[in-house]
Amino acid sequence: MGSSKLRKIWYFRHIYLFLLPAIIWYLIFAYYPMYGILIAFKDFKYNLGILGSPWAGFKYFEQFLNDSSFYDVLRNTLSISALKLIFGFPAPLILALMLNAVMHGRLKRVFQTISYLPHFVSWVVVVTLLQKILSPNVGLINDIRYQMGLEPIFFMGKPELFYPLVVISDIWKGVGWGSIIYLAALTNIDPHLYEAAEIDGAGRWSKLFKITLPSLTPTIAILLIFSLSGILNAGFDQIWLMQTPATLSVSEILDTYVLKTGLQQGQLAYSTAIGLFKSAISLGLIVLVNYISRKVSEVSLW
Amino acid sequence: MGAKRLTSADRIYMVLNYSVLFIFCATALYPFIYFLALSFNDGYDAMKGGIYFFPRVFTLENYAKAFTNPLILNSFYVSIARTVIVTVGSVLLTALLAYALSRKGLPGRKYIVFFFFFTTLFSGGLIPTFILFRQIHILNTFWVLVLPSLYSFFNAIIMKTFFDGIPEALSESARIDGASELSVFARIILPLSMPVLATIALFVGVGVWNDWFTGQFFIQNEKLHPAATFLNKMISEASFQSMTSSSGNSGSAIQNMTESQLELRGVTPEALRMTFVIIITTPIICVYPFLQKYFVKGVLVGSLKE
Amino acid sequence: MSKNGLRSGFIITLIAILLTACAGSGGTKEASTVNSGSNEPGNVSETGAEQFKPVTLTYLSAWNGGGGAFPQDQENNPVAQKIREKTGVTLKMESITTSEVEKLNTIFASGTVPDIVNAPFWSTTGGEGQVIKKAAMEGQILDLTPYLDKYPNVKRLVTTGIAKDFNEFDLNSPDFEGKTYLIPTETPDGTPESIHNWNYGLFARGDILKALNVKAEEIDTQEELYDLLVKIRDGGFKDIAGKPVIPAGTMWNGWDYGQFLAGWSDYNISDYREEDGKLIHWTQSKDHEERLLYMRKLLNEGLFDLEAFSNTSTTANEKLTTGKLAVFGAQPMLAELSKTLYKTNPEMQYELLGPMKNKRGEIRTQVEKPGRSGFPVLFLSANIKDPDAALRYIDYVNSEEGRLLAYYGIEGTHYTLENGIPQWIPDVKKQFDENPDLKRDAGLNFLPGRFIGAFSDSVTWPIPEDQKTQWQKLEESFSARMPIKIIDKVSASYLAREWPKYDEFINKTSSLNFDDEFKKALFASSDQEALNILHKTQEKFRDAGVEEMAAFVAQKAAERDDVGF
Repeated sequence: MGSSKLRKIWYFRHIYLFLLPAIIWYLIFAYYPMYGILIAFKDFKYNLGILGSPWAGFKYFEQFLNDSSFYDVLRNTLSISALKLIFGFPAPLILALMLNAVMHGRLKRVFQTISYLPHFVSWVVVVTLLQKILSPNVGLINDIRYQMGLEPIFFMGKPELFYPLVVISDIWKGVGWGSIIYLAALTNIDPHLYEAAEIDGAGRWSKLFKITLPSLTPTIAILLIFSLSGILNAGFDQIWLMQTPATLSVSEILDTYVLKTGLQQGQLAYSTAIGLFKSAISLGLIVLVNYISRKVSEVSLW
Repeated sequence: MGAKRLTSADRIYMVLNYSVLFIFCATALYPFIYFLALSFNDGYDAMKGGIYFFPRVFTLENYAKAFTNPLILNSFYVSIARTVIVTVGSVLLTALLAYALSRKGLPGRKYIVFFFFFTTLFSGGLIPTFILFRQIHILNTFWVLVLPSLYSFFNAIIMKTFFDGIPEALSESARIDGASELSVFARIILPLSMPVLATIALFVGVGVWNDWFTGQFFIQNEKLHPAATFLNKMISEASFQSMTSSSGNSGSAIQNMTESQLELRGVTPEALRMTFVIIITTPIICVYPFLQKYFVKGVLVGSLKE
Repeated sequence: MSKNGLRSGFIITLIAILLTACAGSGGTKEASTVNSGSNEPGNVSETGAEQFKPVTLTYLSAWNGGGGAFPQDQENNPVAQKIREKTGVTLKMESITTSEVEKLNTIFASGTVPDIVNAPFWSTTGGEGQVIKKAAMEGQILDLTPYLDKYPNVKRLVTTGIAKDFNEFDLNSPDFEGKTYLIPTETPDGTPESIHNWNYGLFARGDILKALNVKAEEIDTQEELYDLLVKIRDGGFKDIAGKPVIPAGTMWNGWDYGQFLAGWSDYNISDYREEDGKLIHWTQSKDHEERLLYMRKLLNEGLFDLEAFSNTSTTANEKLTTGKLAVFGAQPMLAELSKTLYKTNPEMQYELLGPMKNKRGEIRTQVEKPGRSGFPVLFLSANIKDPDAALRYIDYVNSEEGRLLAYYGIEGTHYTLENGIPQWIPDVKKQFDENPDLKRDAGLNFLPGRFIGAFSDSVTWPIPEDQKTQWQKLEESFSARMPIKIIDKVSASYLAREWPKYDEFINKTSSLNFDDEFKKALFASSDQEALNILHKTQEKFRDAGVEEMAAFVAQKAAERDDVGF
């Protein structure tokens, strides 16, 4: 029925007005520059500009898809992302719940402020500190081993330890900052609900699973969807610094690999192609997860 | 207001909770103590290692070096202006967007959300962005620090999720009473959303305060460089100088140095980096207590029951 | 506040924000030439001296951190003033703190090339050089050929101090069709003495050598090196913090572990080796097995720092300044030590081992062509409004008068001339020592190395013996024991570019890094596995066609008589 649709639009006209600045902004700052994606398909010449340069088709995509190391690198990337998701995603939530349980307001605020300090420390410094602790040349841990008469271990050179170290240091760095959202969400829960549950004799865990978590579900779902969109990223800065030649078989990820091959030769098109590839995969993944989320929990991006 | 009886399970849980938090916070705090110590320590002495909690050779030279350039004060003004304008502007605009997206029944909502979402995955890259900024004449101006930072889809969705949690009945009853969308937004939604607004304000503020790249890449006029850009430049330049002087890229560099120039020069790029972290992070840490009062829920939920 | 008031207030704010988004800024200028005068390069006045209209040009130092050399007052420091007096030109300078390649790509792609740019130019097959070459071929860089005769100093820079082969293949690549686009800087002046001796070699802590009763000169083979390292490991030596010493190590990322493998090196200037009467690609050399096993032995027996390849610069510096590395090879770092370790522990002064002998039993030393292969270059934007002004500037700075100005400042104010050699005025020298920023702000840091070429200050203005610092004398003593081996030949590597399958080869090997694979093999769990990795890598290179390429190169080399390997 055409006219009821139009009437609806008229009803919401102010809402559309609210959307207008955002739409304009996105058209200018986000959509307009997107023609840059074309670089991945073109033989870009400075004097011809991006639009005027001749087409190169899928040449660059073929280049990295045919690369023998490509699949190993992809595997490493996905492994790290998956581990970070499984162990790293719940961490801020858990921290938020723990902070919430602190009774003294002042102490809670102090803990909170300290917990997100690592977010401000750059990876260069974190890895340097990590190396100091784990160094085979009398780093903290090996010093203790030395006193005990044990042989030093080169921790950062062991492939089997690489993933745990990466995940743990990533959690340490991001958990405090990530918990801020959950803490804000927790304040939104009606305390009356808890009181009512108390009266009904609910214990701590019951309250958690029946009230807290369900109330947080929308937030959790949305954050999960966003995390998934970054699944091919795996944390370039961190990994680049933590790689050692001994661990390269597991520590070479898509972005570090691209840097060593594509970008260092100044090949703009190549690196753009890889970026595009990553985005396409992420898009597919999110559409899928969004669909699932909508069916399962009613929460979705769109 | 009955007293809660703590079971022994509760006690154990509490002890565990506090211990884990304490240990975690100790490790989270330590790096800063480390930086603080290093920033007050002579750079060359620091290279020998062994500094853990306190400076060994105390000096204020690192800070002095950071502040010698008169432009640094200027850069802080730029940063403050940028952060305040972008934070206020972005929070308001994003809230408006989030509210619009949260209105159930909006025709075409799915497509609109997708329109915004798509941009988080696909981007044209640095060069088209550079060209765009040039075409709209914001290159090398203060506005390049503001305009591109106004919207973030991630923030909008977080806000929208919170708005969705506000009972529909509240806004509906206001609308039935004749309130306009703007009224509902400003009088009902915003006051009840203080926690999320404060959160987003924190995210935006910190993000923009720490961003050194925009100023570096899109602004040549040094007077418009924000603090982060300025300090990052100082570190890069110090690293470059120490690299070229010791590896003698221009072989004459060492030749040209006199005996006493090779003397102890206190400030190394490393020391500068530590000092930078302290300078740039301290203001943020001070802002949080200010924002904390907004992390308490708005008080209007009860009004519905009447 | 009334409902209406709030609503209008809001709408007005929205509109205001929208308007500012669309409007421009306050009219600050972007990177472009600003002419405060006419474009005429010069009017000859009655006295015959040229009067130049004042011109301001934009300059980019495309080096990460390069801005550190800029004086605080760019326009009115003594050096800039003098140059303006002589040429009418003032420079507006900028630099970057991010990747050079990224910046270059951006300025070329967006058409915002500053008037004058200085950037790294190491080769045309990768990195910045490749981007610059592409830019020249695609019309972003000014062709300087018509101007060279007018500016003799610039012409000299374009023809002096450059390695013959680099000149033939890179600087004046056939793709440039004979046009000159780039001006080399930081190049030697053509005499052998002007080539910088980096003093590559291995250095060991003096007090350790003394305690072991070993003379540094006696260690010159791989076996003797191994024995020495074992003795050091078992000798219980300590660093200044009392912690055990590491017998051998490197600086960050494994720089420079190659020094420990001198016994398998030779005097090479190309990617090809003559082995068993055949020409092979360096990756296929049989030596790699021995090198691999030797390094593995060092690593496995606790003789070599396990962290060597993953040191950050902080940890590396720390190891060095605490005397933790008994033996290492990154000579340029020794200068740092005079500021730190040598002050507190002068007995730990590092001594040159050997010099180490190479494959032929000759000393392992720096191999150079009589000219530099790869250097910073200056180029001009194709859109520059006043190229003569830019070239005038560069030409003046490279004159005798200009160079004195660039290095020493104003005669009488900063230096005096004794027998044609500039000497710092003692007070000035003292001030500069105590505060190097003063020297920078006098304008004495930004020209050498970036605007000046075909020149060596140590050759043109030799420092009298009595004025040499301790450090300079020490460096000279090293150089005396390891004189540079000059090979005046064309590198065979360039000939490979003519191979029809060359581009294919580059594509196939772009993600293959021999050095990375070699390092991986160093940490393999067994010697057998390590050798496997090595052989597999060598095979991958063979699959990419190195054998055919080597044969092609051998054939081409035979057609010329000036090719060296």
